Amino acid sequence: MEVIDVFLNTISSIIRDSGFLSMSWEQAAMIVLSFLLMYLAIVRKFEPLLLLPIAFGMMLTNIPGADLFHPDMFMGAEAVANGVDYSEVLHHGGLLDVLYIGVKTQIFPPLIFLGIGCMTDFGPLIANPRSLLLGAAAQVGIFVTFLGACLLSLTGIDVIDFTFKEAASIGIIGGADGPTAIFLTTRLAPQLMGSIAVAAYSYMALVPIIQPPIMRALTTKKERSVVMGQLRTVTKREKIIFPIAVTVVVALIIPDAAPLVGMLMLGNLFRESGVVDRLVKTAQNELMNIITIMLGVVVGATATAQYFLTIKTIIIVILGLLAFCMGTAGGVLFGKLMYKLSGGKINPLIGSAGVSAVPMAARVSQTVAAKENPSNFLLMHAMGPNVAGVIGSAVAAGVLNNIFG
Amino acid sequence: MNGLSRTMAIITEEFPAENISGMWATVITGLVVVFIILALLIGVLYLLGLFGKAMNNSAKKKNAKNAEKAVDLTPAPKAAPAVIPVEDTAADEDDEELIAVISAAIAAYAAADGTQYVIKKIKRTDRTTRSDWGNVGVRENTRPF
Repeated sequence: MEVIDVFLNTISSIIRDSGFLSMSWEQAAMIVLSFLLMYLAIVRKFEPLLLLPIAFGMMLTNIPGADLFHPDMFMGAEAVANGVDYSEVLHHGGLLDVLYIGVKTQIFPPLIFLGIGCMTDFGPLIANPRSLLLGAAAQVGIFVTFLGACLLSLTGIDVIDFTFKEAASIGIIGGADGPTAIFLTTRLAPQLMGSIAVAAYSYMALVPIIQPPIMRALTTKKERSVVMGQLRTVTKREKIIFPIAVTVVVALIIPDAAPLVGMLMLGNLFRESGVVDRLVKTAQNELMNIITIMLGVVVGATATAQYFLTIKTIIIVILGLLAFCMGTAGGVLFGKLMYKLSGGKINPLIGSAGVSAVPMAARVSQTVAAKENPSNFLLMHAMGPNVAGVIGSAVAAGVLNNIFG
Repeated sequence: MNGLSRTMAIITEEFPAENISGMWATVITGLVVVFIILALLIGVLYLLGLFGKAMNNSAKKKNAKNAEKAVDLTPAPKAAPAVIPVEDTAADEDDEELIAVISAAIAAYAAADGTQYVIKKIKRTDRTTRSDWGNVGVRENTRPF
């Protein structure tokens, strides 16, 4: 009889402690949402490298009793007031709490930028420096969205009462650069991390759908048909000096942008120097993949029901779309200005590539141009503003960090 | 970024309603600073370009001198070379690198073929259409869409 009692007690204890009984409807909704994101990543191929770990992290964090992530350790009132107690995190935190230290201390996003730098060819930008202006113009989306979030806050409605820091973090979605968005949000509004990361990566995957209608609406057929001249050849010496010069200029003026821009340019210097092939291979493959896994899972883990299932998330998703649209429009309109000033030599479609999303946005410019003239090959011209957008969004993040951080 | 060496944030109010002018100032400052920094980088890139050109010119002069020396030392070719008209650039006569690439490609072909060729003319046939190889390249680069 004793054996049966122990058996029944154990079973009832397992049932009592299982997640099924303690799961709230909010947690169930978040788990279902994570399934949807997994579907989008696996079947629809929406930025799967990040969306898949994000979705899985979201699922893990919402399983009651698993105790993998404790958002209050990082975003609770005490953590906000007195700073994160890392000793507590290391001693009593779960797996994802420990991994989240890499996000909280802003280590992961710059390391991702190191890998991106190793994979990026800045040649088209060096060959056509004016592209940098398009990369700057496309950052309009960040600041217009910041303004939008602030104006919503001024309405006085409680559920959309964004702080300055939250508005800045929402605005950075317009930079169309995941690591930059995570970098800034970690510092300014960690409680919105899940919503902002999901919105940023979802919209980045939707760039081919969001951008073309705006590009066509703002340009004439004649402008879209402009065939741009061949880019000049860039010497190896220029490619080597470029990352050093950019780092010195940007880091001296906006030190807050130094972690992102510095790592991006270090990776690029590795690539262009041609003397550290082993480091290049590691940074762009193993290191970047390891960081991507950890970053994705822990960013997903921040999307707990408590922080994610709010009206603010819905507003962030809408504002994120506004950010992408305004960034695209800003780039294209500045492209039109350059078209006029250059006497019709610049195709304004390359302006939309100024929102980062490398190389997706440049491919969209190419595709839209090719629809007007199939022999028009804009891709390399669009890569200039595209990589300029990466620098531009990192600088914008640095400025916002400087103002509100 | 750990806060040890950071100065205070410029805007310390929490909500936009507490500092409406700060909201507008952020938008204007942000855009102006982003444009100024990227404009500065344009200046740096132009300087880089000028520097690169100057270095290229001096390298070209050095190469030309070396080539002159080499021509003096090389005996005249024995067999009369075949003549091949190459159709490509007319407008970009000054594009020496392109000519060098085309010459190198023909030289590689000639080495396999065993015949010597003299390039007499390089002329572009049509700027508005793309070769099949070009079209394949475009398709490859835009395939996801």
